Amino acid sequence: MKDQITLTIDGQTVRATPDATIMEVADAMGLSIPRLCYHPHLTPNTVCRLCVVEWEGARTLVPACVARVREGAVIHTASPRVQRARRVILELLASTVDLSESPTLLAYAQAWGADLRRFEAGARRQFPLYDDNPFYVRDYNKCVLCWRCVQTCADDLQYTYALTLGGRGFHSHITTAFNRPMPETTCVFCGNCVAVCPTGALKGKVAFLVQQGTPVPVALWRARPPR
Amino acid sequence: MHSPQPERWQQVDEIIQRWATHGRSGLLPCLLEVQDITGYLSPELCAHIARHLRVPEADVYGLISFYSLLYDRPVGRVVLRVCDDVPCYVRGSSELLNALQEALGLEPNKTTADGAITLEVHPCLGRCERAPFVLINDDEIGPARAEDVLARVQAHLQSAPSTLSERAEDPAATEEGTG
Amino acid sequence: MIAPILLRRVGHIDPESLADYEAYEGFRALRQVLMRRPEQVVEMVKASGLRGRGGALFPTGVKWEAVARQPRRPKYVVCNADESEPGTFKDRVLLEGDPFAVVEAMVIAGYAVGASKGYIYVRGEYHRAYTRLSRAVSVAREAGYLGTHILGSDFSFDIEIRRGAGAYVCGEETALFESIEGKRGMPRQKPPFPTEQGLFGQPTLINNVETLACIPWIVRSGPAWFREIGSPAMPGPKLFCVSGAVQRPGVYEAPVTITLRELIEGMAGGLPSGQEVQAILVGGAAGAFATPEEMDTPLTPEALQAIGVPLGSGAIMVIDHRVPLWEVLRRVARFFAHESCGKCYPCQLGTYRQWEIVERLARGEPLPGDVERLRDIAATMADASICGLGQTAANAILSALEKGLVSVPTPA
Ligand SMILES: Cc1cc2nc3c(=O)[nH]c(=O)nc-3n(C[C@H](O)[C@H](O)[C@H](O)COP(=O)(O)O)c2cc1C
Ligand code: SF4
Ligand code: SF4
Ligand code: FES
Ligand code: FES
Repeated sequence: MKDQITLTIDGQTVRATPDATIMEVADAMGLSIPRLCYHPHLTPNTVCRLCVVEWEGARTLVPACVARVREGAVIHTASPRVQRARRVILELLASTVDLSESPTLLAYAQAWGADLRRFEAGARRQFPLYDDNPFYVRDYNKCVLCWRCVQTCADDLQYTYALTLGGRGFHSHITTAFNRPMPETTCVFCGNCVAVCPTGALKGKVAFLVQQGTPVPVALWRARPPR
Repeated sequence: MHSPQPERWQQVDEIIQRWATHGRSGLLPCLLEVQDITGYLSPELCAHIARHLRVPEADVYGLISFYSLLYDRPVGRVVLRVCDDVPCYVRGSSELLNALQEALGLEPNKTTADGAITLEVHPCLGRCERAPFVLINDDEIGPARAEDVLARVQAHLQSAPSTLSERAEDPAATEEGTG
Repeated sequence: MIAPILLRRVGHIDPESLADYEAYEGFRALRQVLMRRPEQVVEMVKASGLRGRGGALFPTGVKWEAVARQPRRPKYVVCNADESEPGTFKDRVLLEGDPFAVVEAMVIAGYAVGASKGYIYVRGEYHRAYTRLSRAVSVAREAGYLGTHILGSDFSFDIEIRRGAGAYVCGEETALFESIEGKRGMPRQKPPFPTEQGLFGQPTLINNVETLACIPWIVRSGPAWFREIGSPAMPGPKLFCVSGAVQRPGVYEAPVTITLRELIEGMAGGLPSGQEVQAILVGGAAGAFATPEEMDTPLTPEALQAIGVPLGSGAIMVIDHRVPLWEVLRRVARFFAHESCGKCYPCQLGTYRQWEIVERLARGEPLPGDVERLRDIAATMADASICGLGQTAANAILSALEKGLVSVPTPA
């Protein structure tokens, strides 16, 4: 067993191995640190910042999903600064993206007191529905840019590289080479991106059609690949 | 893509060959150098570059769409970058920009219908001691007066060699031209 | 006033002539360095007290030592010449006017930290600087100052120049590495720091152009001499970029003990007659405002901190009383919205919402609660963003509000 270190999280003294992340230690303590971009099987990208915690003495908050614990660290997982950051990030997200199929995020919003309409005067990111193949549809109005689909399609799993981030800043979005329809890309329709998408932005064609009110047998028929 | 100037396509190929040995790290300089010749980075060119540098095409596109000096569609033969950041604004960039827009009949980030001139409003260009400052392709003007800029644009239009793409024929040339 | 050091050659030599550079002390520091042990060179830089001129003021010697101690090879030296902070143009002046100095400093740095390859990442819009640097590198190589067995020593080092492609964020060190690696210039979460895992995942020393330009002088004249200039916390000469409403905008070299007033009214010739200072934006768009009453503040880090202003890149933007300050804030807000890389949510979304709200305030049509929205966004970006861009994106706007430089319109 590795050398144990001692640190304080939310007033409790805990022992941990030095290579553990704050999130791992906090999870073991039963504390609930919210997370969105974190996925146990994907390379951490630290984009969402919902997991930030306050580390006494640090200039900024630190992302618990990657920050490693250290001897003597004093950490607060729900201090006022932490709460404000989480609340405002959720408020900003809600004003930009359709979160209606992201139950976890909606639950976080409630837990952290986010007013989902606070920034509604601002522009939303808007995209057409991409229904360009028999297997899945892409509704980027629901996309929070967690990067999971891109990473899954690339080096984290599939090595297919059909997806990429496009644009920058607020106008960042998930796309393909020159925004081509999926059948014209390297996509092999493995479905792994659909499986990791947390927001309903990527959805199997059958599920999509059924949700639209199509009877299941018809949906199954229509979602068949063309001969 | 069609080309009336085979020797310049050869130049493009030489650039790609030279950077191909760098793999992915050669991507950005390769795209910049190729664009210097072709004016913009068409899907066909990108596919070609992607193959030679062994980079996924999606990633090439992702890169182009990130950097504001890379264009995935035709832009004017003369690109006018008018600085409108704080020091230039304090020294009259707003008036200059208005005058240029009016004289050229162009909204910011648009290209003239003949595909000749693109007008971009730019953050600080790092020549604030010469505010208000304008770049015409890589030609520097500052402190810039609208008359001088327009005269210089004309001179450039006459002397600048047309790039490989036949932009005037492309209807996309009047659309927003930023990468 | 001291005689110029960093600007000594600028405008006085032919920047394309190696002979001119050599005639003005050029490459003598390198010759001296090659006769010492690398540790001695690191020690010298540490003793000089030099701090990074790229904006963060990090102690340069500490960084050099950290890279020098890394056992992994290869190591890289990177010169950050991406200068894109609004109101900043000092690095361009050095690159255009004295390109060999950067080359010499990088070879010295490479020797000191044990690197064999250097990169200079030049802002894409700096065409002349790029041409001059390219020339300087090839001339220096021909003359034996670059390449294998430099000046007959055992040390080999070469430099590759890379052009930026229009992204302010690529001045952030880890975004710059990503860009050289052929990726979208998005900053990495730190740690790991560049000294351990930088360019291509290898130990990397990254320094600003002006920081590097100090190095040959420190070697030639010694750390003690360097410490005599400036203040104890910020030794050495500093370049200031004075712009906006002054008679002689330009780059001025001075110790940081100089006051804002001396710099603006003395060196830059003051404002044109009939104009008065309304506010001074110090440190760039990522900086903060000083008021006319604060003009007697020296530009030392401590004195500036007391008035809530960072030294940053050394940008001093003078705004006269005729300019509507909301128009200035609009541009600052637009800048960050335009330049956010979009990686982390606080900045990707916060810079855009901040811009929208500032536009509303500038038009005089705010919504109820807009100032609270601004403050919440500011705190969230500062606390939770990945990199310095998001962390500082609200500073100027907040400082204008806090110092009462703008009045907040009341919602209809
Ligand atoms: C958004 C952003 C932009 C930056 N731009 C530059 C730049 O253009 N030039 C520069 O030298 N440093 C820039 N920096 C600072 C670098 O990250 C880094 O601290 C610096 O290059 C280190 O060199 P120094 O220690 O010599 O200052 C920037 C930082 C941030 C967060
Ligand atoms: S489509 Fe889904 S998986 Fe992909 S980035 Fe958007 S929310 Fe994440
Ligand atoms: S703070 Fe802004 S620029 Fe920096 S990583 Fe986050 S989104 Fe990108
Ligand atoms: S879960 Fe840690 S940054 Fe997203
Ligand atoms: S503000 Fe225009 S060049 Fe700097």
